[in-house]
Amino acid sequence: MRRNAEVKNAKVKEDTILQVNDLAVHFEGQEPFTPKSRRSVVRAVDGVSFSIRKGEVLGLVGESGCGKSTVSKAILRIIPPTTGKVLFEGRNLCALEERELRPLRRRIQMIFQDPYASLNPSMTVYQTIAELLKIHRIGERRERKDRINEMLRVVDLDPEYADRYPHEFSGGQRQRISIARALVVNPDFLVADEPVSALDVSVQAQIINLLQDLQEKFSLTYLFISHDLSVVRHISNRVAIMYLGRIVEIADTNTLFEDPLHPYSKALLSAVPIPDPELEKGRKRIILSGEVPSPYDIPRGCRFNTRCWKKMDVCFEKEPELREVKEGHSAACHLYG
Amino acid sequence: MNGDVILDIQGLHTSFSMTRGTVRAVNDVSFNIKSGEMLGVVGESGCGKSVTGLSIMRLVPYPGRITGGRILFENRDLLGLDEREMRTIRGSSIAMIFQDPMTSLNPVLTISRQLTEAIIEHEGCSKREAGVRAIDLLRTVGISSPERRIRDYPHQFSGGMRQRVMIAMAISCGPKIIIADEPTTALDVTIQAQILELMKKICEDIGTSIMLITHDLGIVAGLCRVVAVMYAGRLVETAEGKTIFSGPVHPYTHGLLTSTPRMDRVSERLQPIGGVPPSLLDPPRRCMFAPRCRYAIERCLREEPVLEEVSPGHAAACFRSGEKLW
Repeated sequence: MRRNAEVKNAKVKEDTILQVNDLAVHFEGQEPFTPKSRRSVVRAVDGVSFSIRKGEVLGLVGESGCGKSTVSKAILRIIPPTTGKVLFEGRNLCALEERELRPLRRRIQMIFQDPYASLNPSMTVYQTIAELLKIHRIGERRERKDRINEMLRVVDLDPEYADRYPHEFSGGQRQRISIARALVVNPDFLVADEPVSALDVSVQAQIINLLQDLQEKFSLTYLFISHDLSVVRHISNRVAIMYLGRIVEIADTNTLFEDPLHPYSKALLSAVPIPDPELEKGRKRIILSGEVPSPYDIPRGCRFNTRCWKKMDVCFEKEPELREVKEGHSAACHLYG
Repeated sequence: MNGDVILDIQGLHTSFSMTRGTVRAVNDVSFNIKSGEMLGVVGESGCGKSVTGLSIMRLVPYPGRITGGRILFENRDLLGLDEREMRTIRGSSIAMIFQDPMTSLNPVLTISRQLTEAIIEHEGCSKREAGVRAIDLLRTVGISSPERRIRDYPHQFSGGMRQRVMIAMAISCGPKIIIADEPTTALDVTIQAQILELMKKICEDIGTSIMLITHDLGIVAGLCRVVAVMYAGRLVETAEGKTIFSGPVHPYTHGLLTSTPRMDRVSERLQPIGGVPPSLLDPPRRCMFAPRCRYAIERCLREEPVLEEVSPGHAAACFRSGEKLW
């Protein structure tokens, strides 16, 4: 039975808004450049559990292909989960009918990485935002207009731009439009999938500040997905690190960045460059050998054993569970029991 | 030999003629690279850092044209060479590595074909000799069982491995300079660390100069002795790495640093630069950063600051570089 400290912890916490239990998303597929006859399964997300408290920002980090985006899509049932539960205020989203799901979808909104692809090029800003209000049957025409103008002001866009099309805006402005669209229906929970990764650093900082201000203003809860550890440290209260479809470590942000436990977390953190030459001089990098194995062919035992520099015999036999090592700090590694 | 200026760029102008006007992508840029040194060129998208790299290789795509300046390589002006002479330099004395290794490798040719092509062309050796050298090169850049891998096609390599192949190709003819344009931007951070380590080794062991073009200040901090910051087609500040990071004098450099979140410390609120970078279409004669600069004075909107030394080895293009602004 897969049961870990994280799940148990969440159970006693009253203020948990979202709880993910043993979530798995598997895709039937065919590995590229292999014979047609050899069909296999990609285990993109393979047993992920975590919970998010109300008003918290949980950062979900990992390298490409680790399954972090798939987790976010499975939460919203954009991709149906293979197994597992997603409990939003105690209700299992995976078991609901589409009709029952809709009111909850209003409360869980999403913003995406690419502000060019996530806005319909043939709809004006106004139409884009109004669409959401129509779907959720919020307000009359006039009220809608006021609400949209107010929302544009909240994200620092001039309401005069409401009749323009996405191509007339810069990347940063488009991301503001995406945020306005997500927030117009007054959600409680925001899934942000790499929301600042496509932006230059000076604009990225504007959007990060905006997201932080809005979180406070509307008492929002964020699941913030990113590959950029510096951004995640900056914005998150708690951080979960994923590797090849599983969470390897989860803890409070400062604990995780000051005292990482899992060998993968240690290597990952040591690899991030810091803009300070004096500091860089004294830093020791843990250079991982090799690359992330294919998700078609996940190693037996611990899935990090092909690259781990602390591997032991047991790591090839048994997959480590995510276990609480210290209070509020869990890791999935045989080094810690 | 170490420490001599190997590449000296003076007043480089590169423009793209469009029907609506002229885009001044690189506007009066001067800097030099010393032998065995790693120079970091940083800036945001569209600041002209890549076009500067392409200008040195004389590979600016149409309708772009180098409209002024000199590029002195070992005291020869590259801009005065004809195409045939340029070809003997390109890939042999000056090599380039691009961001996306998949589009810079030919998908229908084996690694062997692509790697030996330049060696045969520039060194005039036989196919067999070139093959042996190619295998050695792959070993140097850390590809295991190179004898077997050399017969593979690009799609059989991962992103990090392809970038290793690109590096092998770049060093194949023993270049004096490698221009690396965002070499790790497409890679994950653990793979990025591997590739940067390799580039550092090449710079230190072989003594190749590297011009590292990147948007990531962190990468530059760890690798480059000298840093040049570009904004809107211009060089706005240049200094030794430690000076740039601890005592920047140009408001843009300062703004870049205060808008970058850092992984090594508990965060304070970020101080972004307001607004967006300007259009480079027929730019006005004034400080290009002035509209976004919180320290701008009236003079910044009338006149164009030039790069001037503020202390030995540290230059900035700002009228207020002598003042203590922050």
